[in-house]
Amino acid sequence: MGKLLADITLGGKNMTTIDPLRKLQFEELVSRYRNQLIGALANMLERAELEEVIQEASLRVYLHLDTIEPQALKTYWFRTARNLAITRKRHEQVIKHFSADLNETMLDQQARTDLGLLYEEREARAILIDAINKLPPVCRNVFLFRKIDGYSKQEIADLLGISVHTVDNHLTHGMKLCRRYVLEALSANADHSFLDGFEVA
Amino acid sequence: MSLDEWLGVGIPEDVVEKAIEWVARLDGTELPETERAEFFTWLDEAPEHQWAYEEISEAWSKLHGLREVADVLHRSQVVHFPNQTARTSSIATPELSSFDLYSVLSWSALALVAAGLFAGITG
Repeated sequence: MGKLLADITLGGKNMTTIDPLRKLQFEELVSRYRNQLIGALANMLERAELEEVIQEASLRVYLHLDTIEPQALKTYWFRTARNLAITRKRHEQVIKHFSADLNETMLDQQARTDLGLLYEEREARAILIDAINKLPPVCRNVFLFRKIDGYSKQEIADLLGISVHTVDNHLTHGMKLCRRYVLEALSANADHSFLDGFEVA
Repeated sequence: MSLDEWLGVGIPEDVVEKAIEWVARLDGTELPETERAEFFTWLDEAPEHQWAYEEISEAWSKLHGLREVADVLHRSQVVHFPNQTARTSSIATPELSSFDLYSVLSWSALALVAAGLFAGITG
């Protein structure tokens, strides 16, 4: 953090304008939670990449210290690190997939990314629809009443003659089943996903 | 839509499942104070808890987007709706009129008599 917290000018922003108290708060936050963050990301990245991601996340937060609420600092820092880790994994997969299928000289980087996203969007929707249609009947209806029809939990409970607690249980069960189905579908086609290399439970 | 960014990939399974339970519980519900405190304690315990909750919550929220393809989502035909009239008051509830009640009682009495006669004959 010594290097990070040095008074430097980055991205046209003069670091000396940041309140020293905020810098101190962030420094304490980093030293307190750094190991926890490393442990949480260890499943996604190699150690060297992990260090880079945490360094970059810290720098990004540091650059916005004057605009982030003190109580949101930790959340913002954790989320930035997670997003950077996901972006790295995703980028690796996009490159791997498209370099196998397409002549690198035919499409520039942006076009390749757009094509990938378009494919993913169509595929994702189809997988989600399949996942929902495969839910057990009652669970599926509760799920659709809530997400598609917009009924409140109490309305669904009244409609089906069940308790709100049971509605909660159906929603929980439905989400777990859908997630598992989507994970399996995506990992079966892992060329398009950064799931490649992760074990699907 | 990048589904694989909303699934808690790389986060322990039990943490993601707990996050799902919280998302379902919190969805459209005002929690009692003790449960709210329990939720925030859990959320603050580890980065993975925070990530899992954020991502599952995001996925849950984006499922609204499926409204435009509602016609391809299968409605189950096997669910009974015992309290449907509580919601759709325009649908009249079938009720027994006094005439129907009289008929039911008459037919029941007739059936009892017939059963008694049958028992008498066979006995």
